[in-house]
Amino acid sequence: MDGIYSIDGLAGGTVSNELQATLSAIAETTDGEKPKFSSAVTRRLTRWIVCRSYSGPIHELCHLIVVASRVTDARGFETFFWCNGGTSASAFRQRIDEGLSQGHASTKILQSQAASTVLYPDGEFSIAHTRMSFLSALLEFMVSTLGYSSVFETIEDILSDDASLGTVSDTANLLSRRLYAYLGTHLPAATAQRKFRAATEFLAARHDNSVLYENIDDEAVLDFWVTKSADDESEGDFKTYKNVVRLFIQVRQALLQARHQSALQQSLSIGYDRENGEIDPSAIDVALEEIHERRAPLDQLNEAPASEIKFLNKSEKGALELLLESGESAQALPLSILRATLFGAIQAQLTQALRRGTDIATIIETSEAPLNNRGYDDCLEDLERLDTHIERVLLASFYHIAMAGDDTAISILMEMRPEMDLSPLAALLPSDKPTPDNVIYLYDQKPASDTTLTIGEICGDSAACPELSAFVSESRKAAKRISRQGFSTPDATVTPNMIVGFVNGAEALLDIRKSLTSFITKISRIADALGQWEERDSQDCEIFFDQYRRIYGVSS
Amino acid sequence: MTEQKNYWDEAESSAEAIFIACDALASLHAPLPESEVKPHFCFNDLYAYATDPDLPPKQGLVQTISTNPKLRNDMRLLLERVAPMRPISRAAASSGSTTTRFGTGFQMTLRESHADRDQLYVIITLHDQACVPNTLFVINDTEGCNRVPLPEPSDGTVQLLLGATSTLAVALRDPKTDVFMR
Repeated sequence: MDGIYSIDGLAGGTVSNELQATLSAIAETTDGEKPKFSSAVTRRLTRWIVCRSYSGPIHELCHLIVVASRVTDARGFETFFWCNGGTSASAFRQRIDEGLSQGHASTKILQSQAASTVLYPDGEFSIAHTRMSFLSALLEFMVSTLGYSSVFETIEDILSDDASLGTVSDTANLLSRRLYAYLGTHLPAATAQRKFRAATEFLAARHDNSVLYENIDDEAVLDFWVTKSADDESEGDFKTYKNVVRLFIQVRQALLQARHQSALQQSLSIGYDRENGEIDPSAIDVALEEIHERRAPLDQLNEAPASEIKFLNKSEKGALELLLESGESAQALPLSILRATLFGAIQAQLTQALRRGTDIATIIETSEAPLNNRGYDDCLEDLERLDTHIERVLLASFYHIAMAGDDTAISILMEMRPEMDLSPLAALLPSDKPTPDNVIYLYDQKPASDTTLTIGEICGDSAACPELSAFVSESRKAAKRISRQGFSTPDATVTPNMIVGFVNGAEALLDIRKSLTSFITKISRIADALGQWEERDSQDCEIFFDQYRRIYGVSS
Repeated sequence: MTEQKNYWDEAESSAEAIFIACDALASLHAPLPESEVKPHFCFNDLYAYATDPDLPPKQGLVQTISTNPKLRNDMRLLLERVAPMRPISRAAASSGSTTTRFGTGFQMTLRESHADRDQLYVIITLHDQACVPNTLFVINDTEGCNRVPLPEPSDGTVQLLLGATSTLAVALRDPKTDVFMR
C-alpha cells in the first residue's frame, strides 16, 4: 500500500523517502503562524512509528475520534482535529467543552479537569487531554500516509451514535493492520537487522563469543571498517567510515540500553513473556527516548522562531551532529568521531566524485597531500573555535533576552557562569516583596518597563555586582559584534517573537555546549597523553588512504 | 478480530530490536537526497485548501491533486464532508447551449452568452439565501481541482462569466465533474 501525499510514491529496501518527506511535512505544518505540533510531539510520533507499538495509541485515537464526532455533530470530526486554534491540551479541552455546552453528546461524554470519558453501551474509555496533541499528530500521520479515504472507510462505523467499545476495538485493530502493511513497505527492517548482526558477529569473533558494549572501542570500529568496507560480499554497505562509526555508536547504545532493561526486567514484564524472549515494544520506546532526545537541541534550533536567528550555520551544525547523536558514546569512541570528521570529509568527496564519474585516483592523490597539512590538532582547534563561537552567541542571546526583561536571562546566566557571586544583588532587591532565602530576583512579575531591578540598572551601578556588570557589558559587546541573521537587528526592533527565539536557541545551545565541552576535554586528554598528533596523523593517513584505494579499486 | 502480532517477535534480542528501531529513527532524520526534495503534503494542507479560501494552497498541491487519483478522491470525499453545498446529481449531458446540475441547496446552469459565443455564463441559484457560499470547487478526473472565489449573490443568484474554452468552463461542461460550494 503506498502513501498518496507525495508526488512520486516509492519504497526501496531502506526507509522510503516518501515516509521521511511525510514526517517532515507534518513537522513543518503550521496553523497559519506557528507549528501545529511541537517538536516534542513530532519527535514522539517518529519514535512511536519506529517502535511499532501501534495498537495502544491507535486504540486511544479511535476513542478520541468518537469524542470528536460526538462533540462536533454535523460539522464532522475533521473540524475537531483540523480547525484553527492549536493542538494543545487546553485547546482540545475547550473544543470538547464547547461541543458539550451546545448540547452535543452531553450524556455520552463526561468531562473532568484532566480527561474526557466516552460512555458506550458496553463500557467507557478515558483519554487524558494531555494525550490529545500526540493523538492528533498520529491521525495526521495516518491520513497522510494511508489516505483520508482509506482511513475514513475504516473508521466510518465508529462515527455513528451507537458505536460500542467492541466496534472501536475492531476499528483500531483494522487501522493498526493497515499501518503495519504500509510501514512494512516503507520502513523495512531487514537491512538494519543485517547490519546489527554483522557488527555483533564481528565483536563476538574478537571477544570469545561475547557481545558487550564495553568491547566497542576506537580500535574495533577502525578494524571493522578495514575488514568490511572493501568486501563486496558484506551483509551491508560498510564502505563509508562515517556510517561505520554511526553503526557502532548505535550498536553500543542498543547493547547498553538492553542491559539496562534486562536489569529492569521484572518491573517491565507485565503482559510479555520475557523468559521466552518476547520483546515489549513500549520498552523499546523507553530505550529510544533517551537516545532520541539527544537530537532535541539541534531540532530546537531548526524550529521557529529560533530558526529565524542564525545561531549556527549549516557547517557548524554538521560538525556537531555526530557528536550530539553519540551521547555518552562520544567518551568511549572519541578517536572514531575525530576520524569521521577528518577522513569522513575526504570520503564524502570521493563518493561525490564517483557519482559524477570523476577520476577517483586523482582525487585520492590530491587529497592525500594536503591532508598532511591538516591533522587532528586542526580538528581540535576547529572544535575549540566552535565552542568559542557558541559562548559568544550565548552572550549575545543573553543580552537580548535580558534587555527584554525576560526571566530566562537568569537561568542562562547561572548556566554560563555558575561560579558568579550574585549575593550583592540582594541589597538592590525591592524591600516590600518577601524573598525566599534561596531565590534572587532580578525582576518582579510586572512587565519589563515596571521592573524594579533591571540588568540595565545593575550595569549602571557596577559597584553593586561588579561580576554581573562585567558580564552584561561583555554580552552587549558580543551582541554588537555578531552580524548574523537575527543578531544584527537593532535593539529597538527586536520583537517578542524573536525573544522567544533567543530563549529557545540559548537553551538548546547550553545543552549543545555541554556535550561539546566534555568532548573537547576528552580529546585534549588524549592529546596530552600522545604528546603530539603527528604520528597518529600519519598512521591513520596511511590506513585510510590505503583503504580508499582498495574500496574504489585504485592502484597505489 | 485478533490483535496484531508483535512486530518484534522476529528480533533475536532486545538489543537487536532497539538497534533496528534506532536505525530507522536515524534514517527518518537523515536529510532527503536532493533529487527527492520536492513538495510533500500532509492532510492538513488538503484540509486548509478545502476550508480556508484566504489561504493560498501549498506549492504543488493543486498540481498533485490533478495527477494523483488517490489524492483527488481524498479531496472529493473531504469536500463531501465539509462543503454544505454538494452535488445531488452530476450534470446531464449538455443539451444544446444549456447544462444544468443540481446540488443540495443550489442549482447550477451553464449558458452560452448570446452576445459573445466565446463566453459562458455560470448561474448559480441558491435555494436558501441565508446560506451564501464564497468558494466554488470544481473537481474532475482530467482537469484536477479548481478553487474559485465567488462574487456576492444578487437576489439569490451568483453569476460568473467565463471564457468558453477556459479550463474551468471545460470542466464544468463535463458531466463527470463534481461541484461543491462552501
